[in-house]
Amino acid sequence: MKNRKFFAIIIAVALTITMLAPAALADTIKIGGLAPLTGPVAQYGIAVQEGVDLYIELLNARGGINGSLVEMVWEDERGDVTEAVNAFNKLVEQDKVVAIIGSVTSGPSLAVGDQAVEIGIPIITASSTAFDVTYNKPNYFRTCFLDPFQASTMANFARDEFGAQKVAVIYDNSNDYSLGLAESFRAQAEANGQDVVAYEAGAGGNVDFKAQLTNIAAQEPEVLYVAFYYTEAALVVAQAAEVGLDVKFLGGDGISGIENVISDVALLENSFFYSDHFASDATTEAVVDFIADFTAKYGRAPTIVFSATAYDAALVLCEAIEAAGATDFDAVVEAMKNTNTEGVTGKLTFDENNNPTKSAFIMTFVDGNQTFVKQQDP
Amino acid sequence: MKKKVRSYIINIVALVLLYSLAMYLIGNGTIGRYYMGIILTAGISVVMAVSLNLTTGILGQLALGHAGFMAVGAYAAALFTIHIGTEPQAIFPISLLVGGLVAAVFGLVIGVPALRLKGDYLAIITLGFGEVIRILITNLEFTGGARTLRGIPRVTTFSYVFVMVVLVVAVMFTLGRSRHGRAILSIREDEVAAEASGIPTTYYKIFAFTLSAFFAGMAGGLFAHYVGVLDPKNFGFIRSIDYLVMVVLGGMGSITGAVGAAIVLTALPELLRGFSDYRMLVYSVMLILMMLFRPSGLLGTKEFSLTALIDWVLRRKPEAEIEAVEAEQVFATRHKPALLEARDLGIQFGGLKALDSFELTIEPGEIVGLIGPNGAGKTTVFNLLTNVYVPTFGSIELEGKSVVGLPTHEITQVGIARTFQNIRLFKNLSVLDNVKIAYHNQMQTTPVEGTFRLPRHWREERLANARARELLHVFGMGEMAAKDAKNLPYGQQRKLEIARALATNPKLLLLDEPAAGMNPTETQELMDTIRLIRDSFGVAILLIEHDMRLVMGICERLVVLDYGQIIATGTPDEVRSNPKVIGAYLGA
Amino acid sequence: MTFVNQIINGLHVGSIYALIALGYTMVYGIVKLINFAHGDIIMVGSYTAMVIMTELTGLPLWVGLLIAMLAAMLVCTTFGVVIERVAYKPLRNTQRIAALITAIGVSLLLQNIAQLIFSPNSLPFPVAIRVPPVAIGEMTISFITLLTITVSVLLMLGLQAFVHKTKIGKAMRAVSEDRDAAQLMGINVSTTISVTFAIGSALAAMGAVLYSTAYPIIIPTMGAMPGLKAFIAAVLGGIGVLPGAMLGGFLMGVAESLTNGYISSQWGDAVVFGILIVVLLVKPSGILGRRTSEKV
Repeated sequence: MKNRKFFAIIIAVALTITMLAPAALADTIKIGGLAPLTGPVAQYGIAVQEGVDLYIELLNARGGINGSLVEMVWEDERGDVTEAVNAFNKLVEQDKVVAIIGSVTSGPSLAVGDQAVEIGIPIITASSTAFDVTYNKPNYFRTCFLDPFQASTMANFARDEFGAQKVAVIYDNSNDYSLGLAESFRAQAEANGQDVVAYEAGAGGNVDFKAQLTNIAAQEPEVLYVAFYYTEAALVVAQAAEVGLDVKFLGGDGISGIENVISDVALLENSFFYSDHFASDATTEAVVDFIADFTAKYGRAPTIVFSATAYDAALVLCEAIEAAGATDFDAVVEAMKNTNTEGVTGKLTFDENNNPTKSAFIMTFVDGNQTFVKQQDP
Repeated sequence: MKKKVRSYIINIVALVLLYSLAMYLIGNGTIGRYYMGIILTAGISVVMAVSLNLTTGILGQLALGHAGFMAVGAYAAALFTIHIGTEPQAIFPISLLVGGLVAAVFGLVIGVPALRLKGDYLAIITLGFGEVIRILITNLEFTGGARTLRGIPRVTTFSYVFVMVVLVVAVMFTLGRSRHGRAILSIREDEVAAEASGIPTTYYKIFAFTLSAFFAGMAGGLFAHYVGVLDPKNFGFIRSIDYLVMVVLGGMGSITGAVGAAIVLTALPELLRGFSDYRMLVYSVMLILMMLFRPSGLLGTKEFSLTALIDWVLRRKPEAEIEAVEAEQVFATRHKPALLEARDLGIQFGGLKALDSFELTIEPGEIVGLIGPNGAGKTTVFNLLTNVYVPTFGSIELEGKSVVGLPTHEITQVGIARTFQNIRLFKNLSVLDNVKIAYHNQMQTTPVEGTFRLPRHWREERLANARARELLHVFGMGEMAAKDAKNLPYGQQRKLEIARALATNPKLLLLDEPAAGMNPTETQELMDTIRLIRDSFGVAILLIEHDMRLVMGICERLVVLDYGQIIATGTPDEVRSNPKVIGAYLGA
Repeated sequence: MTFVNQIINGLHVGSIYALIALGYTMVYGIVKLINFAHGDIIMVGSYTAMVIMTELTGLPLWVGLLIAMLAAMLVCTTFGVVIERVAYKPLRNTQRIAALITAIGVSLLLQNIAQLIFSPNSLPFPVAIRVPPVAIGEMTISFITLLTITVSVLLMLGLQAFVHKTKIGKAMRAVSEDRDAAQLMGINVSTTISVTFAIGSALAAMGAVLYSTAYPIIIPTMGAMPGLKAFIAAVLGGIGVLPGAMLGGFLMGVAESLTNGYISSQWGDAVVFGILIVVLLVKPSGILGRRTSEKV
């Protein structure tokens, strides 16, 4: 009986909270944000949140979209597909958002994708690189590039820059981003006639890769493609030194930020090369402003590149709403398809699968700072 | 019977009302996709929690890998639907069944070796299996691995979840209150005593574990067809813990408690969305506080009953369950002459011979006493006779047939029942259930008959009730049938243990210090009871006792042990004057 | 040479597992609780050490590391003892599973507090030790590896001596044998349990500093994986037995390293859990565990 009373109280509280929620102001445009803000992948979710919030703040300071202010409603999904679906439903139904930015990792992005297609709401992710996320989903867009492009760029770079014949790969077999990068890199390397001498996995959540690196060292490759996010990559670089593996390291966009977490920045100097969405040391106005604004708002430079792609996702979405002059789903989706704008991460247009066609920037580190090496156009 | 019918009607009406109300609210849009999502998730959690409750709450085995079974079921069901390809709506029930069955096979394969372990070790090994399943799914090609399994038709609807929840909860209740459910409960209460009461404990552990895996697999199927995407990361250790928390918070063993906790704990993080950053912080603090202030969970081991609630609201006194006791002679059959013969029996622990060259013959209807100083090996004899220990050498024959090496529960079935030196009752079960459990082997209701309450279930339950009440009446405990065994006074507990042993319909009853801790009046009563057992039930009795008044008073023959050796046998008078016996007792 | 290197890699991880496993095993031995929050105590230790080392920039890193380790031990010990007093002690006489769930709650709580204070981002752990690898014949072994293995073995030996030679150590063993009997012998059970948690947490703090020195990135959820692995190591060696925790830790580390090196790096964790399952099935009480049978 106690149980029932308790339950009844909870329901009552829930209903009250729902009813007390303020009704949407006519002159406010609500956009939903879906990201893991707590839990194991929270750091990527928060990077996305910071990028989006920065854009929206600047936009509102400029007077919003045609005079309407934009309000972000963030929901946490903890990297879990069920929570992602619940949060998505809440945004759509309770908060009545007109568009959604999210989600961050592939599982949740895929899970809400089907639901989004059903109702046709415009949705854009800044970080889900899996092909299926936007494939066959007319209203799902992304501002990050796909795995094959950046991985094959790096395989070519290894050949052209270092004349590398023997290449090795280390990846996380429990992470689809990492798997995608590793497989694409291997495929391109083989197509280039390079010899993939080692292809080693390390499960997610692990911190010790010395066993794999010892194996890799025994094969004496010239380059090692590190298909990890920067946290694991920092450990790989440090442990490679420990096991006496002396190679050039290559990586994807997830490497950006490694200089902030590696305990010895010297290890990166001219030895780690990775593909990124923009050259953070570029002198273009967009990049300089982004970094300045970000630092002004958060007191530090952006650590994870998704802050930049997220900024661009918000930009694409808001410009589309402005261009459509309305917030009805089809008009905004149509406007997004026709996007042709300049973002922090370069010129943004979308192909038939709503993927951005944009350049990759190969970066390295000099004196502990990200340094532009080469631009690779698609 | 009438009471049961009324209760069925109340519950069915309530379910129909609830379903209609939900369908109405869905129809007019009050329950939109957000609430629907929470309701479906909660329903799936209920199935998971209730199925885990079978293993952890009812069987009493801590399992930390339940999400593994959910994962197996989810992938099996999803792959089935995807590969059949056509008509996902139509084949969905079959997909669910496939999910359940594949999970059950995993449950069986894991349960057979794992359930030999107990307590924390079982918990850890299930954790290990759960993780291995997750790693397998991550690394196999056909599951999609880390790339997730996509494109699962999203056909899970409210109706499916509702039916599934009702089905699982109903099965738990009906099966739980059949002879099979009692057998499972008895294992939680005391495995050794369950085995001694004739329950094949290994079989029932695996049965419960497999059934639990089956339902988890079905829940997995519902889940897969609800989210449409399966990611192995979502079936890790933490997910198993989530379900365990629901079971413990609801009250271990309480089915309705698990239902309530599953709903609350699924809804809670959603309700806490307003707290944004502090959401999981608040959740963890609430978890700690709930456990600190209510460690036995919301409902403890009790069940919420709608019928009882209605009775309470109407201030209606619950009808006493009066069942027509068929005028049937209880224990009408006298046994054929029973004869126990143990020859040259012995056991060695390391270098120590705890018992050596033990010889014993018991004639039908005889009362034999086994005495000797502490540590002489008396209880060892009992443990050898019931195969708790396997004899190193020697033979034991009951009615000319060897019983050496038979599992304890089979020894009970062939006719040797026992009590324990330190009483081992099923403490949290009623006195009546304690006795009814011992009738297990005299009933034939199958799990299916029990679950669907087919006629044989009712017939045998009536008979078991009648017999158990009759037996309790003989022991002067008829009034206490509904009490929990743990609430009985000490002397009554001893008697209940004897009654339970007798209910297995033994030919030979082994009593281990039945008078220990009794006052003289209770001992006197006990002597009368023992004589009554022999006289009216024709059971031969072998008893270990230190109370010489009792031993000398009722035993026809005595066997005296010292240091694992027989030092004397004979009538009480002969033994009393045997100098060796005097020496052993006086330490000379 | 690769083989020897793989063994050394394994011993390095293994010695850290062993150090953490000691805490699990001590707590389990005395209160029969699988302390799921133990892994998060490691996280607390790492963050404490990180904060101290970042603050103490003026001092030589060696000194900084020592002070950081002491501070981490102090903070972790306080956490351990307070958690036991507040969250576990009230449940000491109820069913054990209630305390287990509370431990899970504490674990979640610590992670979420850390996330609020330090953000969910990974942070670098300052490197304190910059010593070139030690060359032994043809082989080179990193200094951190040598240090970690040495410190764990020394701590293990010290702990073993403590438990067997000192009065409080004997009290700990007595309480783990039979709490009621120990109480009748005049042993203060609550104090003894507190001391056990204190020592376990202090060891976790040292484990944390060594762990973070070897894997210098810290994050609020960092305790989960080493916690789980160390727990399995404790069970493998025989939970409740100190040398068992050590053996289990080393065994796990080497098994993991050899699987990653020679069989398949995808299946490293599966092999670890597989070994656990096999060992439990063959000898349920673990490799060095005592077999306890129920008296009927």
